[in-house]
Amino acid sequence: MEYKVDVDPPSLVTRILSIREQLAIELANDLELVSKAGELIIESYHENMRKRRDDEESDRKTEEECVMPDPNDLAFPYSTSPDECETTSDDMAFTARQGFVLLENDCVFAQSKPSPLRQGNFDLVNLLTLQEAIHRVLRDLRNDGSSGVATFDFLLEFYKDRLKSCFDGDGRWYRDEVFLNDLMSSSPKVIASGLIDPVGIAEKIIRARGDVALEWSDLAANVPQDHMELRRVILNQRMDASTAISQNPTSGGIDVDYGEAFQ
Amino acid sequence: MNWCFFLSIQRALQSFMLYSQQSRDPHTVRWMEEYGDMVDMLQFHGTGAFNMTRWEKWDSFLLVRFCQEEALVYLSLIAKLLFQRIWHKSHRQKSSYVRREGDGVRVGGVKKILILRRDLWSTRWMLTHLV
Repeated sequence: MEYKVDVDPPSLVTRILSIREQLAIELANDLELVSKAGELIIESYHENMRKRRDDEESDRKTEEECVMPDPNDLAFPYSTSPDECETTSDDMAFTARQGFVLLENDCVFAQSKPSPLRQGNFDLVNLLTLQEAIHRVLRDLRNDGSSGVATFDFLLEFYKDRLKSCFDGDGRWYRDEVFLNDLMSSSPKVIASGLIDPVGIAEKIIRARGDVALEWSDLAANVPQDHMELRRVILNQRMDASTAISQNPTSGGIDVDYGEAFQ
Repeated sequence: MNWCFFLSIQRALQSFMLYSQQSRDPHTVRWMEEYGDMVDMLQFHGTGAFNMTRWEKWDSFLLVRFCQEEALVYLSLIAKLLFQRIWHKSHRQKSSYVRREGDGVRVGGVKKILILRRDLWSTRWMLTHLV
């Protein structure tokens, strides 16, 4: 048995465009959050590093106390807890998810309900703006001439190594965070022409991402106006198509076997 | 080329597919995926789902494919399964049969429902009178 279900593509287009307009309004807002989050990420990273340095100093003092115990202290080594002599790896972590905190706050105070895929959209916007920012930084480094060659080579290699896992196709959430974490935790390198500073490169990328986000935010805000022209073109095409269909009503169609769905 | 435009149309399509799926219209989702050369868009989390060699601009997908012609999706049922269900239900719980078949074919749009309803009732009439 076979059933025919009409799919009316032009009406789908109209509905898809309406959804795109709604998403664009959200995106314009979210992209501003991406820009703000970039500054917070840099600040929190430096704060964590300062904290870590302070902790290291205090740990060094504690370590000295651990290494040189009082020979008369019979309670050694039980007088000092082993944990107190170890540094915590949490200090290394920086909060790259600042953007999601901002997004949650924004959703709480927003007047309208967010779209169902909003968090996913935000994650992908973070990723895409990061990729565009990397491209821009690479272009700038290449244009710098000999002074930026070593840094350019380092970043290009680093980016290529992670292109597939972090940027291409279907994948995990927070891939931008993984990339930035990897970059910021890379060791600096001393070369003949100077120093390659991964943290400095990451800062450049994050600042470039802020600029990209603000540019795209303006573009996203203009999407409803852009759709006006598109709707006009679609209307014309629809008129032409309706004439063609009236002449040849059996054209188009695909066979889909839905037998299993009815089991 | 602006990646932001591609991302926004991709996510708009994914949102639309999600809405269609939630309103029990998987047929439109399947149709869109087949025509757009896309795979499992409801689960896809990433950028670049579009074949950008084929769709050079973000709107060419909409303009080239969607607006050219009206499409028909032919739903093929396995006759044996339908026969078993109708046989079983029509002899034991007629009201239940009608309700459950209605759930199964709710594919969105009054027109689609009416077409399917007409076909199902004609089949049911035929089977109950012939078997």
